[in-house]
Amino acid sequence: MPVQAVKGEDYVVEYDSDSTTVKFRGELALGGPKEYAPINDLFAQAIDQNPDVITVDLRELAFLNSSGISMLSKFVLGLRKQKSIQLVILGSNDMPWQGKSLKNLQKFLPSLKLEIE
Amino acid sequence: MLEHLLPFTVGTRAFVISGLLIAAVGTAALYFLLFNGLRSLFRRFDSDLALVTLNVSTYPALISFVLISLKVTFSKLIAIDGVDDFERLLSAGLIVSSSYWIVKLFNQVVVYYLKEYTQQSEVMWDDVLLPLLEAVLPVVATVLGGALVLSTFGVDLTGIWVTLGGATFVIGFAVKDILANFFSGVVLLIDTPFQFGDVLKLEDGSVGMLRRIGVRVTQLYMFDNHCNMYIPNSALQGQNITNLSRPTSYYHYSTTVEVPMACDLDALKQLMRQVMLAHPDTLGDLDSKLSLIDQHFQPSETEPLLAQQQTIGQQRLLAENEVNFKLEEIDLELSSIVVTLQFAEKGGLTSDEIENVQMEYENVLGSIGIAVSTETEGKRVSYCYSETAADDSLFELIRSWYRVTIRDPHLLDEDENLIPEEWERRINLLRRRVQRLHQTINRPEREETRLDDYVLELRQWLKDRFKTPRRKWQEPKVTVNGLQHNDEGIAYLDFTLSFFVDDIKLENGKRGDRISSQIYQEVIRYLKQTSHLTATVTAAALPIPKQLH
Repeated sequence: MPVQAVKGEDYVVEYDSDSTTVKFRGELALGGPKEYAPINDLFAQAIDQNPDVITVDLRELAFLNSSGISMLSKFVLGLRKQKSIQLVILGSNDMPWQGKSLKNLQKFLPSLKLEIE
Repeated sequence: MLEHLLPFTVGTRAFVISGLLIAAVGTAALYFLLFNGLRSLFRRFDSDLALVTLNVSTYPALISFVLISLKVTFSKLIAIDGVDDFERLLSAGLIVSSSYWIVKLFNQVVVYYLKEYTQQSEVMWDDVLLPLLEAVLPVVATVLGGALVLSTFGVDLTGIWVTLGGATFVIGFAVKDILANFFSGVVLLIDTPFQFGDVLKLEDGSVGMLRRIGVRVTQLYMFDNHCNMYIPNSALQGQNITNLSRPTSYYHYSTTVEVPMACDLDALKQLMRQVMLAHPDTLGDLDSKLSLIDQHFQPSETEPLLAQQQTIGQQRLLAENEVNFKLEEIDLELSSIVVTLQFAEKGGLTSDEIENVQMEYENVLGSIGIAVSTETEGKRVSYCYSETAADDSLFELIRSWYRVTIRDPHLLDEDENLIPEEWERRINLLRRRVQRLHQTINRPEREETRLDDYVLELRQWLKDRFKTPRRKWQEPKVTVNGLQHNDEGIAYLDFTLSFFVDDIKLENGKRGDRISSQIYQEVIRYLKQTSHLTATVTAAALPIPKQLH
């Protein structure tokens, strides 16, 4: 089962275990940690694989609310201990929320590779 | 006033007796109120502030009431011979009673509660200002009270004040050294290059712990001879002082070992590093220390405490590991809140965003060991904080850690008090900081764009002041300095073993010497066991001053 997905009315989150990529599409505005738990599980699976690289593709994610940012930041900052894993986040300048928020993440995880196109 | 209340003519016997009767009844009523009514009420309060204030005030209040009543009664009888003097006596009594009341209230209530406050605060100046006030204010109150008493008896004090004014120059010249020490003390307090309990190294090389900065002298407890040293503040200010407790209380030691050339260099280096890591009281990677702790420092007839040292040390390192994990978890949660706040603060925080941040922050409080409950009175919401006492909370993990720490067989009685006191003080400081931030997060008002800075500040404080994380530069190191030759031309390899001791203050400042000696003995024991290294081994253990890397 190389690709798993968590789907909602306005969003899809897919996890490709072959490339250890988590891809977000649509708009994510869930209520809190409990509602974000299925997505968190996808991140946990990626970490459990202990790959060299984990890619988080946010290029097609038009909106993420503050609970989503909390969830994403906890995942990213949790990787500080996993020094063997290189995290790559793909972002887009077309999505206004991404630019500054993703750069703030880099302050707490300097090894984060940020590719904003 | 009394003449309006009583149906008798002023100055008559009936008037005086009625006035005295009213005073007696009033005194009895006040006595009953103070000793029965208020006392039983105040005993129900959690804080003893009201009860102590009442105890201190009861007799001065009663005496003042009696004196005032008598004054009111006799104030209209001044025309009668002797009453004037009696009234002056009453005034003097009232001044003495009031002065006594003020001094008692200050010493037993104000100073007592300010002391509690100063022990909890992080700054040092209040610790010094308070004893100063404690010494000066009663004297000032007594002198002023005395002057007022003399005034009531018609003594003209103008001459005394003028003489004192004229003598100011002479007095100033006579006490110039005391004044210099006083102002040096003030400068030391404002500049705060050290705090009480810090270990200082003076220019002459002596090492002592700062106990207090007084009006004239600074008191240091000297580890070498176990006595107090008093240095004039101005002399201390003029010295280059090394603060061995800053930035951390870790203390650098090094030991030199010389071994014959025949030894296996790599094996010996590894052994030396392992010995230093296996000692529970040195700094180093906790996992490495825990894996090595069973392999060295076996008890012997001459060193029976080693078994206990290693067992307790192992438990202590495991407990510290738990604390470190919890602090990392809290750091992650706080960092996540910062990222969320920086994301959300653009365009102002919406109610959903504030709610999310509040929820995340309450998770942090839970990790620390604080539960929040709200109380609503009308529109006003107040927060109540209580400790959860959960075993996995930061507070409880720290308490478990220090409870194991004080079982260390080498610690002195005073260390067993010092360690819990120090940690409870830090826990208290943390509790106040996080509660203050919780209130700000819940009522951000005009500070919503600053919340991320406040969270960052807390995160930094945890790292700098609460518990500094272990750094790689604190790892034990073995360096080969080079070849040495003795008089017979035999070559020796010269090693330096460098390590950090966990707390310079413990064991009367001798903890580093003990650890250094134990590491040295363990290395020598190994060298003696190695058959091909039976040649003379010379060594020297020289503790050197802390170096910042």
